[in-house]
Amino acid sequence: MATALAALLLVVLASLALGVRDINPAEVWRALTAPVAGFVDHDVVLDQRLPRTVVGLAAGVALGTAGTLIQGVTRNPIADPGLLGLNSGASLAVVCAVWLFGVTSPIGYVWFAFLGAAAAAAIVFSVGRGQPVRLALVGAAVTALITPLITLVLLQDQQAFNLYRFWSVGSLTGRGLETVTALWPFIVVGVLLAAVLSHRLNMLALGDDVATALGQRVGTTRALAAIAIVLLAGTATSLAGPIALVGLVVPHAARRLVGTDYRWIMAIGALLGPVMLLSADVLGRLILPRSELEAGVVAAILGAPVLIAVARGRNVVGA
Amino acid sequence: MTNLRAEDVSLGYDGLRVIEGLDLTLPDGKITAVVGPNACGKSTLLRGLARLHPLDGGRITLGGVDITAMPRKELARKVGMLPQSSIAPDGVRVAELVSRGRYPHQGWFGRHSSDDDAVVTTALESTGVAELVDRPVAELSGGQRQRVWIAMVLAQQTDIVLLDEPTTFLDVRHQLDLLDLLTELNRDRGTTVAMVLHELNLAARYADHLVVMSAGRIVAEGAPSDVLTREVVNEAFGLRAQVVPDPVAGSPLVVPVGRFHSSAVEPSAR
Repeated sequence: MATALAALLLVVLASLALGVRDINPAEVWRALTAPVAGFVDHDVVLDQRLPRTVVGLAAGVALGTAGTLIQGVTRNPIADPGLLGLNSGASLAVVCAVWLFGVTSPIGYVWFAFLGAAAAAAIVFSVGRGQPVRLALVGAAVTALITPLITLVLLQDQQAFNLYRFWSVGSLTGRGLETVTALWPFIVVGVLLAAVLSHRLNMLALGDDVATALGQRVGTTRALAAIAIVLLAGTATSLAGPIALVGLVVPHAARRLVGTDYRWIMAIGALLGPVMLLSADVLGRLILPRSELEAGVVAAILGAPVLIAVARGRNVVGA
Repeated sequence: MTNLRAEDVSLGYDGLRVIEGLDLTLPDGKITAVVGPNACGKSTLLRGLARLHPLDGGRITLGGVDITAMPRKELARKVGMLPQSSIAPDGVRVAELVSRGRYPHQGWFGRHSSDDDAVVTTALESTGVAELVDRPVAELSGGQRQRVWIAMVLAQQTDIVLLDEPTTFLDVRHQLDLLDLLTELNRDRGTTVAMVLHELNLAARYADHLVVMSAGRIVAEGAPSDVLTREVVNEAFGLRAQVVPDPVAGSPLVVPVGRFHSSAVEPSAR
């Protein structure tokens, strides 16, 4: 727990201090405490690095928590928001928003992304009925159905294509603090629900029958988890685009650290989510000279080896 | 009286009736074994008794109260059930798994009390797995693993324990081990035990009350020595068999007759 908190603090500081533009730490501190208007170094910290750090924190917490919830409630170690079709639902809604309504600002299509994720989740959860394999199949079917629809819209509309290209790669920049200001209550509610559900997931991990025999209303657990997943994954996708692998890798890493008790996995997952997302973002600023890689790209590049390491490890923990 | 009873109960899957209008009372403080051919509805009945399967008709009562009128957690403090579908999460250790049996006695975040610890320790000791507490469940043998699951159900501290084929994947020595353990719990604590068993002769030996089912109904029930006759075995299983006294326990011993082995001696005994 302390290690995870320390890691989080470290990446937050790195996210504020490091970037394409060299700004010394003292100046970063001054920008935060006593900013001088018009001073470029201070503007970069306050207008660019601070917002993307906050967006990364919010989206990271949401992704880490949502991923843990999804894997717990489906008892499926490869479940993540992407597998359940939430990302494709959000993507379709965003391209439609641009194409049909000419929405171009992040704060405008945030709500479309959210609704798209919720609609996809509603379909997947109602047809999947809590059965792990069925959920995965329906998620795959929904994604397979939506992907060509997205392509179709992108072929119709050049502007949608350009915006989507940027959004779909997953990035923390250009979102601004106002998206977080608009969406943070969803994250708070989602995280609180996840905390309440974490002990129930411990019973659910023993099988639906055992959980029921121990006095848990399994249907209620699943319904509440579905609500929390939509709130969290929907918000994360709205904030940062469809970021791959964070929601998948973080719960595995958390299990490695704290074992099989979901009360701990959930807490650590919520901390490791932003650690991974912000690390990806910071690395993306440093890898290329004078240019940046999007956080979504770096997260995927970082996440894949971690996932392979987990798969090769002694215990791939399913639930 | 805490009798668990099925009254005119019907159960099924997706419109397909498995059990129709069945009545059964589990005698208090006794061991009941339910036997019958595959797909006769014995597991479904047990699941119904534990409220794991919704009833199509009738009701299940506990001490006269309809169990669907009770909050699930309250029922889980009175009736424990070990289903066949239990999953041990990878990496989970014995102590943690057993302590999850305390769930119905805990609040929403599962804070552990010293009371919980004492109950878990007793459950671990009485099932003989106390020295395994720090071992991952996945690394245990089949017999040990089944003991751990029973310890989890014991940690639930219920007066009634239902078990769905608890001996299925065990070799004969571990089957006896497990049934001895259940008998011990029944005698020491007065726990009412009801289980579905495949092995007829072990059921006859260990049960106080034997229920023979076939095609969704009860063919015969009562003391094993009264119930397990040639006729009943033939009716329930469609099996020709001789029934002789078990030389060890005195309970009825079913010796099946196949196509290739006719009896050398046709005994007069039952």
